Amino acid sequence: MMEHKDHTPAAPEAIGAVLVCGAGITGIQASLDLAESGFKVYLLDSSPAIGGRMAQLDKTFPTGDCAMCILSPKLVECARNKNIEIVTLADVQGISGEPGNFKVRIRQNPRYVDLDKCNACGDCTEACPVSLPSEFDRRLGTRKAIFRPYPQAIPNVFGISKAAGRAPCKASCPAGVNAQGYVALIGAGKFKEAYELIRERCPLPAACGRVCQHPCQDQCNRAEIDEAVNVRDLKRFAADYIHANPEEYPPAKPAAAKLEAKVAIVGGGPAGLTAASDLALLGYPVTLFEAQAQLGGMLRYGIPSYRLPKDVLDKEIQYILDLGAEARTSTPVADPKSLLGAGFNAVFAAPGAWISRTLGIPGESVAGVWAGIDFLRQVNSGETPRIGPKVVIIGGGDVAMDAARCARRMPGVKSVRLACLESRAEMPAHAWEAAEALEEGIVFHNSVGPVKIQTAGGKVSSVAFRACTSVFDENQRFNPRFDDSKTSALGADTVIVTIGQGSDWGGCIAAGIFAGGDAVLGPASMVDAMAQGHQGAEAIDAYLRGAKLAPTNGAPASETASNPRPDAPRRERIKMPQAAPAARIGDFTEIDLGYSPEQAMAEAQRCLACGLCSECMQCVKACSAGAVCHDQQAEEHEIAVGSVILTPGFEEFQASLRGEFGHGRYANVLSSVQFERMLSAAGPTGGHVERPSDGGEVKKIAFIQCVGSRDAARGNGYCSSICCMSATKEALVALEHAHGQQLDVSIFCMDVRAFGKEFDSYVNRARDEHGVKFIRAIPSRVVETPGTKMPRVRYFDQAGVEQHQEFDLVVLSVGLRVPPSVREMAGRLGVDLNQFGFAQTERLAPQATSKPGIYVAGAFQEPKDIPESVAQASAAAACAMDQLASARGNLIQRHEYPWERDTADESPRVGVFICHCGHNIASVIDVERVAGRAAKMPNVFHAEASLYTCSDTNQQHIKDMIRKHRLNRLVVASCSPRTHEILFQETLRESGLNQYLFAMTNIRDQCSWVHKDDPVAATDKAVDLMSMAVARARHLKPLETGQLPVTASALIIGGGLAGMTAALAIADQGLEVHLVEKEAALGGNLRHVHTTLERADVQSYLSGLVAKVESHPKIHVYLDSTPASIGGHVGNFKSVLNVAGREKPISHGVVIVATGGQERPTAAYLHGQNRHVTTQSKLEAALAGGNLPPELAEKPNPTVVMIQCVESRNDEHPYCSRVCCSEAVKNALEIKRRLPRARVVVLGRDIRTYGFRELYFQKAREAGVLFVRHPEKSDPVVVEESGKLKVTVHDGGSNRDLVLRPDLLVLSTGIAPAAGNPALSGLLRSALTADGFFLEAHPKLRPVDLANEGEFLCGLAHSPRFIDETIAQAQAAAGRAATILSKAFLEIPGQVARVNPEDCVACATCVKVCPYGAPMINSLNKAEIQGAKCMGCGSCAASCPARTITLQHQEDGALVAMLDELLVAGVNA
Amino acid sequence: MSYVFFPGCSLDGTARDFHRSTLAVAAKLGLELPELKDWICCGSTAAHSTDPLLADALPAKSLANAGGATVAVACAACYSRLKMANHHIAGDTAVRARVARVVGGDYDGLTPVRHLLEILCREIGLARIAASIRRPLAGLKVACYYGCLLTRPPEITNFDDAENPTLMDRLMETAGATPLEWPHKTECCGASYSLTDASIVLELSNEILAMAKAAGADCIATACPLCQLNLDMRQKDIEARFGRQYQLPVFYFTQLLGLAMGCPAEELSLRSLVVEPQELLAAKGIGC
Repeated sequence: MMEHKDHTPAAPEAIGAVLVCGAGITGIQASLDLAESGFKVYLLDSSPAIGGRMAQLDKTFPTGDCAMCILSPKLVECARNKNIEIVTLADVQGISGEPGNFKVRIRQNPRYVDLDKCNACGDCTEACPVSLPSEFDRRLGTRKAIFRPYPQAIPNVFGISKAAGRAPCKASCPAGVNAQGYVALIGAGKFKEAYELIRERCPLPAACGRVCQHPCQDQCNRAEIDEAVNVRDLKRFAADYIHANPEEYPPAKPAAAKLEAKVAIVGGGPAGLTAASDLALLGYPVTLFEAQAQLGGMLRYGIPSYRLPKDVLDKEIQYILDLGAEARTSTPVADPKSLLGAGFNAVFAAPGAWISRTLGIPGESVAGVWAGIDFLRQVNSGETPRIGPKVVIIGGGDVAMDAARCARRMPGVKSVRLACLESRAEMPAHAWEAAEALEEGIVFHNSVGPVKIQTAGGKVSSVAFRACTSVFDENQRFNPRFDDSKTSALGADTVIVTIGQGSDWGGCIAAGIFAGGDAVLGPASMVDAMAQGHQGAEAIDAYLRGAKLAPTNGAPASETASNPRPDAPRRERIKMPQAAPAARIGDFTEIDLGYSPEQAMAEAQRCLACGLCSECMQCVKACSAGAVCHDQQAEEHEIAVGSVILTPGFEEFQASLRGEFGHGRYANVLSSVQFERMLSAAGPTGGHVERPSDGGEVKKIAFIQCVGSRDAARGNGYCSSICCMSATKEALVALEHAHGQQLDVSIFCMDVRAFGKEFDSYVNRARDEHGVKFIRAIPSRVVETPGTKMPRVRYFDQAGVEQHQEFDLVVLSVGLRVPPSVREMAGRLGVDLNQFGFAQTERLAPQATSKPGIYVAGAFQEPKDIPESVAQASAAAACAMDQLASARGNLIQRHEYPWERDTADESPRVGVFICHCGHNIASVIDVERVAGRAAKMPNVFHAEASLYTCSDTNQQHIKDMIRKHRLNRLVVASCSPRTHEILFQETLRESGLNQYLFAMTNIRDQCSWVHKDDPVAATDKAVDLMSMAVARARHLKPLETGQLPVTASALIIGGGLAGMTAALAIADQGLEVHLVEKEAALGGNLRHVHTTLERADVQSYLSGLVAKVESHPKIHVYLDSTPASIGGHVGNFKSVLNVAGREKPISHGVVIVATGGQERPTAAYLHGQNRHVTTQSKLEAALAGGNLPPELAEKPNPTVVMIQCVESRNDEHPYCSRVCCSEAVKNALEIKRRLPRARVVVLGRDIRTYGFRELYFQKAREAGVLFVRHPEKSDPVVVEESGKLKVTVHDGGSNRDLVLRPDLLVLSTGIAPAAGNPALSGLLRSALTADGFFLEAHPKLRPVDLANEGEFLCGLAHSPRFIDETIAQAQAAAGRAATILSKAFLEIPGQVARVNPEDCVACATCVKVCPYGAPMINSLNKAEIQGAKCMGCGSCAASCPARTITLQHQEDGALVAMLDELLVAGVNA
Repeated sequence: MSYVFFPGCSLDGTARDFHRSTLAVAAKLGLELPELKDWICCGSTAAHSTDPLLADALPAKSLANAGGATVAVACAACYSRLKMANHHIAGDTAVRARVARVVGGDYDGLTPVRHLLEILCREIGLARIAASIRRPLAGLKVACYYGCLLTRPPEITNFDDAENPTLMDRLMETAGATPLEWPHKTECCGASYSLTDASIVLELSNEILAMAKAAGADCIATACPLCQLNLDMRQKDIEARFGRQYQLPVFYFTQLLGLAMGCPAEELSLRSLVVEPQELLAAKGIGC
């Protein structure tokens, strides 16, 4: 990136804003560094919350920290930082412009919850009936459709998942009934809510639940797995449930408005009733005109009561009449227009289709021939039509079935036969209805057409038929063909003709007249009629309001959602019980018997939730903040930024692609991410390690490494770098969770790649102290033992013997890969990717992408762990700062506060606010009582309970109350100060009060949440907590925050790669650098490195670097120099350098330690005795520039043996030097390149070529380099035999000793810490690790910070590392330094310790106990706390023997008052 | 789609029951399976483990006669050899030229080769099969055993999920049986050691039988003559050697399908099974 900067100096119009894409820990760190250094940051993520993959982790290695505990403060910091704009659920669509001035198009996907209104109370989640597999828990657990990925999520708001399309059940309903919604509600046992939802679009749920043709069910995606969800029967259940439990459903409420315009509805069928219901609810006076004696239309007169009992229909119709509709039955309306003249303003005409079609054959008018509808009308009116014992039905549709089955139930009927044109398969009746008819003894005669009805004595005697050869023509049109030669006859005394109906509705068109139902559609289904009713009502409403009707939404949205869970296990449908056929033909009682609540819930739970959110709107009802908005849409907008940092992270390899391990097939085979979630206390099992198959105890666990890593066959030839350590960590955490129970852990692996700082000792501890077995084998197969479901692992042991071992749990250590969505984003940004889809970068410019101005950090650059990612984040931030230095500070927001009110002379006037937190607190604690108690306390001038104390509107209210009551102390009893204290402190500052006049107490996390079952005691406890806070508030004093000027220069110790890189990164930002090098020339260890593994030319890079440093006007280089003393503190160090023997004082704001390391000298393996024994660096030097060492030059096929880990990873030097494996591979490849016939043998315990370096390990093997693994504690033995070298090594692969006679023996000696480290550590008061490297402030999240503020480290001073890693760390140190150097002043917080010098005896106890070096003994021989260094921990105050140190804001008086309140006043009250 | 049938030597010899039941099932479905004209040995084992050219040339000689039809195969070893040869010949012009030289005519390696399971499940379709089921195999728990050759190597056979194939399971389900989820669907029975070291065969086949038994199988369905032979004919030896009692009938899947379609027992050659299935079928009420 330095190259880019040189050629593209930041344009004058550079924009001081940076887009960070990906809000995992890498993106978060980059954002914080940038925002702290004066840049506006857009932190963008496609997920609903920031935190990335680290949020999923339980613990971190090798520190054992709780991942969430160390991540969460960073999340909060991001949320609080005014210069970081968090943009979640967003994707980058495209980019234009140039470095320094980009325009980036962002697509903002809908959250369906208003970010500003949601208070994260969680009431919506409680109300949501839809459970979905939790992606965060990798489908081990479930979550609701409205959710927050995890409790600490930032932004701390909920969001809804919706599928791209609508659920097919919902999309297919003509009437727009939300089937997925009510099914979900029934599944959750919310029957009343389900009923309410159905009624919104279906005023006749019980009827519809019985007779609907259910297109919803026909479209159900569940049919792909087993059978469609029984949607219609579930609707019926909901309606029946309410009919049986009317008290659960309130009587109809009168319409909100009372409107004048009167509406007439002609026809009391489903269309008319629906329109009546809709219009009555809108407030129109509605009159229904019905020709028949009762309302219901075809529902009453067409459908037999064994399918739809009349009392069910009556109840539903009554409900509609109760809305205020008036019914005039037995009142046919010949001409709807006449109603317009009779006082009605609009008419909805839905008279139905009541005219039966006739056959047009001889004999049709004879007595005994019935029109189907007339027959059914009589039956359904309770009459007994007079029919004979031998009935023939003509027709094959649903009406034919109804007629046949009704006839079957008529007294005296002996036989019912049904004849139709269609074959059995073609019959238009529903299959289930035909089946039920057959069950009831009705006989079908298919593929016949009636010719004549024979009569005898004026009565029917039989029907003559001819064969029907086909019903439909080629175009699938109804066009029957007959074979007159084949005839038949059925004897009959009664013929019922059911071949369709028509209407005599003339289609009267006039203004104010609207028509619908069967009269318009022709005979259709009930649900179509209801759809027409809705449309009619909408049209009439629009007409009467004089509004234009929006384009009809009658056609359901075209896009339907696909099955979200194709792998869902089979679960048979729960059929609704039916009466036995023999029992049911006796009468007209209902056949389907209805579900029990348990059956209904179980059936409803078969729903796959295709739309994800069911849009049942329960969340809308539950949200008292009014934050849910289901109609949000995706939006695109553009932002202007100077630079872009890509930190999109990784996803795990899909374990099921290694089919031989059975992930997804066997319940007890988990991916490592799933296991991590299982270990997490916040995970699906609450941290309990158990067998997913049965929740059983786990006694044996196996980890299988490299699943999706080092796997060229599946396109993942690289090493994922983190899995060896993460499996070791998971093993240790699992052991910890076992609480002394026997737990046997085996890790199957190729190599143990514990190459990081302190990693090897971690692995050794796991192995030696905790008994974790590292088995050098990759299993060939995992099978599940039937019955026990124990996964059985097959592998070959060290002795080459096949083993089968059973485990309770097998964990697959899945590798890292780039998600397809990230590859697409990179494509849209024009960033090149490597062969695996990671960002293409160069070792010498690790943060630069192929596109200038766009930088990369974290796992998207190469698989890596957290500290390396965090370092790269700071490095990428430094690159962006570098480029945008001229625009620094242009876009940051500075908050202006009013003058602070002097309250010194005021007595305490406390305002107390008690938070409901929705239901979180108020459902347990009587918050009004707490507020009431507060109001009675002395000094309290205002007390109230508020719904959400943190809401925006409430902040304004607090300000108003402060003004009104002239309050000067604020107490809030609500949630955690960790997240919310700063918010209320801001409110105080904006009201002109000192921010320290605030006391907060948490009555949620440790009160209402944990005492859910005891509201009375919880309320008492809340009163105590509140009272103590008030007592404390009375004692609070305003504190001053100090300002400390910053010296804008850096001291960098060490002029090697790390020091020079850091120097340039700082100096290029316009800041001054003092670069101190102990030797006479710059370059350090880099002078001994000639190429990288990738064959980049290191020496020319180095000379370029030295030239830049030496010529840079802002860099002062001191050669032959060392620091003599380092004094002062962050922002203001005063140091003295020893420059070639002369003292030189300098001032600087930060220190960067870049002291490097050294090759460890060795005398092992005859080094120094036999001239053919050399080291890797000497070999590299010998190979440089096309030369060959003499041993190789002399022979055509020489033998070279390399010994790894020489005096490394042993008891004396337990750490791994990280670079030696790759160094050996590099040199071995170089030898093979030049001398293909050379024999190169590498002896080692593990080959640790992590990340993309693995490819060179593979290349080396392909080139014929032999890698021999020897076991631990059996190092090779080298002797000299008659002048020749002889190497003996035990080969772990073949389990035998090998003897090699090399011409050249190359030793991979490790990297030792710099000799000067102990002395410098003394000057800095900064600790070293046991291995002698500098100890960073936090190994995970502060990798380049030293413990003392303002001090940083990079390069080999930190630990052994490669060039690219050193460059990244050096830039990171520069980026971190810039967060200080870019400020004119540093803020000193008010909560610092203060010494009362009068009682100080200068015993220096405080100096000894302070972990930060803040106290000092000053020139007056008294202790003094340096505010800039004080962290406010209170150690000095607690340990001062003279009790003369006070920690401000935590003074004894306030604590005593709190205890008084609790123990004395509280008891008295 | 039209098919020509490649029976291979097994179906003409030890696996005549496979042959007969295949034709019986095909007849029920109206699937015409005329025998491939002038077919010769597929080259399995003897050829492919000794001479790569011969291994490609033998199948090429047969496949060149398909005349545009798809070659239907029942034997898993034949299937594997024909697919392999196609892969080599179509993917490498040098191989194609060499093969052309020895067989005396150019063959492009593009004749489609399908296993019966693929034809039944993917081309005929389960719906059509379901319609021809007359006597569902209700209550019969079947361990579907595919053997090692059908799915491997997946990039060449492209048969089904290489580790957990389900084509036969779905077919058995359609026939009314209950296919079992068991892990040894594609384990090796040891067939290539049949002549050289039968003890290996006994050991490996025992694993398969033991796992099927443990999974609760009533019987095993196979799609490979060698698998069937090893599991069925050697079952007594295996029981004796390992002191176990299996009594697991080992059917060809076509025999079970034929039963469900109502084919008479003799058309399915059920009598040629060594472990007699009659008792099991009678117990399950599956007539034959």
